[in-house]
Amino acid sequence: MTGRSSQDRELIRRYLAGDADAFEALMAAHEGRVFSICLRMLRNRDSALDATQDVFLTVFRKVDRYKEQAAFSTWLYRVTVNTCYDHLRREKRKRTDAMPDHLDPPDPRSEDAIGAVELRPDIERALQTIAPEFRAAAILVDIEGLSLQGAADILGVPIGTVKSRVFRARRQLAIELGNLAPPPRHPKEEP
Amino acid sequence: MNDNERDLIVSLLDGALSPTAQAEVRARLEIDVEMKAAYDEQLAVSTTLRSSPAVSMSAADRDELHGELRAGLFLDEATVAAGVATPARRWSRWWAPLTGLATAAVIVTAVVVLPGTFGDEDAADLVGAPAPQTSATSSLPSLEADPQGITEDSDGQQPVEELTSSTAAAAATIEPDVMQYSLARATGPSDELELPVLAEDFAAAGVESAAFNSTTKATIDYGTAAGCFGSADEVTGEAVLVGTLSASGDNVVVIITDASTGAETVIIVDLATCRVTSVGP
Repeated sequence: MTGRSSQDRELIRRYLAGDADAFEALMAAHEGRVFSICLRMLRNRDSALDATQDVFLTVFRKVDRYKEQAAFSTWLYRVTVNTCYDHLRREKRKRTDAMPDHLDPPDPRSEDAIGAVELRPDIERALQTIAPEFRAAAILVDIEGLSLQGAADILGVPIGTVKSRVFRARRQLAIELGNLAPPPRHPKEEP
Repeated sequence: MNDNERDLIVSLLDGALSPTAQAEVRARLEIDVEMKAAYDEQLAVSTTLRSSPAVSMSAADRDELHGELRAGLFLDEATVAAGVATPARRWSRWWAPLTGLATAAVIVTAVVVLPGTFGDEDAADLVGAPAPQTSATSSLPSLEADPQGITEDSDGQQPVEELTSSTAAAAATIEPDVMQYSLARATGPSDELELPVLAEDFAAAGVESAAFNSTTKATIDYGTAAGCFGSADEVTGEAVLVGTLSASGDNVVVIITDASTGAETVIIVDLATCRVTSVGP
């Protein structure tokens, strides 16, 4: 058990006992990464803040059922990724009803978000072109620095699936960015 | 390049290989041009992403977030003094309409204990079945085969009390911590939800949404749904009504994803009879 995990479990016990300071301590320990994942996934600061709020409301509402069989952070980040999926779905449905993307007025808050993210804009755009499942894997492993196993635990999929998603995400990012040469075609793949 | 080679590249970059395995992979990279090119590409993208600076919330955003959460969780001093062991019953302003979610969660429990509709074998499937790979048409037949979508028992009563030991065991294994549900969050007590999400989910199982209904929008009356299941005083999970199969709102569909297995279960409830009319992957 890591020090962080032990601290989280103690904080949860204190929170459930009515210690409001424990709420603040849990937030301080995790809100940064939760917000970071949300912002990378959603690319919009308002959406990321909304998602972050949803995540913590969900988690604190159910924290009394946290079984301590897995690290609190694993559960928290799993809720985070799933919440982002929900937000992406809703945004997609909104876009379906709204005017075509190319006619949408620019959202100044999105520009703020891009600045806040501080990734290269081309990388940001490329990230948004890949499927959310692949994007989540790349964000967790390459941006948040989690291990493959850690990402697998959070995403609730086998580690082999994470490896595949990470590989394909990087592959697609390389293609989208266009400044990285693709691997040469295998002779057997030649038409 | 095969899947194993891709896995090796990702594992090498992640530092997940033993020193011996690392040496073996690096030796292969020396002689396999295609694998080396893929490795270089993966390394370049990974390095670029890893070098991105950390993201942080502004102090104003943090204060607003904490304030909203404290309000949403009723973390005032009086509440804290009384303990917060049952926060699920405390609904905040915008959270209140989501009591419908609690109802949906009860649907999950009801499904598990409905032996007439959902046998022991199916109950086990709900917990550990693999993700659906084949058409769900055959597993969701009732709405097609029976326009009423109702499977009546001989006594016309919901056999909720007939909890068998095996179904009880299955119910016990469905922990809210383990299960995460596909969500399409409502924003009002009666919310218009759209079917494209539903269509996507069914499409993943090889089912055309048009096979069920061509309606693109439907309204869910959470009050009606709640009337089916009484007051839900405990949230056993987070399930969301993702759509209905008819414009009249006769049916509610809940799609549940088991986070540990990825298995998806589609539950259809007829609001007119408060019956689970179909359960399937």
